[in-house]
Amino acid sequence: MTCLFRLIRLGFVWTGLIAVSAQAQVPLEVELRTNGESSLASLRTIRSLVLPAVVRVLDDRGKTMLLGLAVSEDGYVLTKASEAPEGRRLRLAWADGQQGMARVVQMDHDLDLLLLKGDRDGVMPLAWQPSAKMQQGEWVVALTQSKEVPLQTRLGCLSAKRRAIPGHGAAMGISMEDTHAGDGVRITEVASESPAESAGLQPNDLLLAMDGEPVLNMRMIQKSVAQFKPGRVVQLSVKRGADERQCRLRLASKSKVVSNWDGEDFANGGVSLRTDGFADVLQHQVPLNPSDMGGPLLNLDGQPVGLNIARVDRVTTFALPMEAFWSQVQQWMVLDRKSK
Amino acid sequence: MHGFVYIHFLRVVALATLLGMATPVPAEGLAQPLSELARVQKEVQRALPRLRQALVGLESSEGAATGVIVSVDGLILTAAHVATDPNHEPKTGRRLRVFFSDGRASWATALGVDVATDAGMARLDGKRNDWPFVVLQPGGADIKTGDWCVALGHPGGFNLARGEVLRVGKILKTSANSLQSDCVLMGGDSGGPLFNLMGELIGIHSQIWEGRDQNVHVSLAPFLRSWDRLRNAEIIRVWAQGSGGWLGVNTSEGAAEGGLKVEDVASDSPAARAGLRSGDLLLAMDRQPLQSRAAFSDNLRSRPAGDSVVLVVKNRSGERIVTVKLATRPEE
Repeated sequence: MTCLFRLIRLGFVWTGLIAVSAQAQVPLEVELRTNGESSLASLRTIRSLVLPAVVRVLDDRGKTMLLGLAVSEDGYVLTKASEAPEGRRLRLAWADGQQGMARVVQMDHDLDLLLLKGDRDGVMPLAWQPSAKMQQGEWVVALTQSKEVPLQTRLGCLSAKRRAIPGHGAAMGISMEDTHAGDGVRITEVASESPAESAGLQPNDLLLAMDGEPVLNMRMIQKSVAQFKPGRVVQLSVKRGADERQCRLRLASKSKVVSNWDGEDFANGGVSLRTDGFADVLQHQVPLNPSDMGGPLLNLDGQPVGLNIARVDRVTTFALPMEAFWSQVQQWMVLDRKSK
Repeated sequence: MHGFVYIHFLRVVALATLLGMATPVPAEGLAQPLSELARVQKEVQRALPRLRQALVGLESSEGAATGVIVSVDGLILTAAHVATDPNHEPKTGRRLRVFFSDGRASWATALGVDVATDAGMARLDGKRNDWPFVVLQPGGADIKTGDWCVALGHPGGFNLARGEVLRVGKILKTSANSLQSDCVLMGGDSGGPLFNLMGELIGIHSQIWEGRDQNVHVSLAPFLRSWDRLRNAEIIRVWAQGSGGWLGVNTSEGAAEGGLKVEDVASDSPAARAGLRSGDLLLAMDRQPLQSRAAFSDNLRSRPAGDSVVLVVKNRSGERIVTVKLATRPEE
């Protein structure tokens, strides 16, 4: 992998222990910490205001993959494209407990946004606020959820400059070598918590074909993968021993794969598949997980200023500012309503 | 042992035991109003332009880290594991590439380190006498758990397009040589500054554990205790718990009369020379009643060797007042 990214990978594991436990003093109660329950009590109003417009995007088994935000009264919903379940119709769970199907209206790979149309009327969409004047240090609020915790607010501040995040292509998370016989490409290493690992690939597996095209050498794979955007699903034919099988693999940002090659332990909650290739982002410190992407980024008045788009590392989440997509999304909705 | 990471090179200590397990409290009456958040934001944004100027990205052959300028002649505070290679015998004089927030670059040379506490110093090359700098929180000022704090750094390394990364959070724990906060840190932050809301320096980023609340900073105590030695490029290597003052007693809590009971007295220690014996009760130090071993130990360790403390000691023959001059703990 490239040196550029190796350089950024700074962590090494420290093995010498310094025993200080005897000096332990009482730590601040969890409830009183920055994102503790009582610290966030003043955000309860925001939560109740925002919740009716927030949906969970579910996979076949009912697991929450992403959050989404209702952006119109007639049930259009915006979420993140590159980690949404595949298919033309997706299942949504609304805050009132109701579930329903939604139709894919528009998938935009540049913005990494997916516009859905849910079977629902009378939604109260939130009024977008411009983010242009927001400065580093300004508090922002976002929503998080997990199996244990229903939708909760989390607090943090805008933490760095608003900017573009250039893309560096996609990756599967494997090292490989050509076989002498030319009977495919052998996997030599599978990166921890990478798309390849999720797809069940193992060292010594032989890659025979990608998207139906026979794979003759590793250059072919590298060339194709380099052209794809992170989030793209590729179909692989893999041979392990005598068995041949098919698997589907969703590509991640190359920068994410390389900088987390040995796992995401310290990312704490994981990293989004796609972490780069955005024309404009707000960076904030709200502690979120990859499955919280697609949810709104709110100001302290509870108004949305952007949409969370990528969990990048232990300290970084990117949100698309509303200026980057809102006029575009409005056009998509107008066109879609006309076509019906 | 897996899981501790130095944060430029990230470093992380065995904090699992210190960091967890807090007891729940009822939420009523503890909520901070939105106006409190607005106040915090205002103070952070007011201080930021000034703090940013004194922040430096540091780069050595091993990786990237952070530091902060604390004097007009370019003294930099950072972490010991940034100033010297933590995997080898510590050396002074490491060359560090320096990046300023506006993108300019320069060089600095590492000075002294306190290996045990992870305090390190460096100096910008050249004779300039007009460096932007931050001020240290005045000595003796109190840092309490629950106080707001502000972390700056260059996580992942210096990045001009992104600039410095800000985190606002709370102090979760204080001890003799370190602070813990919920300002989440990662690789590249090591050596970066932690401030109070007034923009005064209160700590230097040092270590993380996996949890988001497990971020540890060197407090100013190790720097202040050894300022001249660090500036003179000395390697300070004292006992494993930091280089604070040493009395030479082992105590226990729970005596019926209160105070701390002396269990052992180290031979040839300040305590032995002052005539302390096992079985004595230590009732007070410097007019403060003694109850907690941890607080007693922290108090001693946060002072330099050579400082005197006044103890109220009780034994069978009655109470007496003893002045003891703290020493440096002998290296084993």
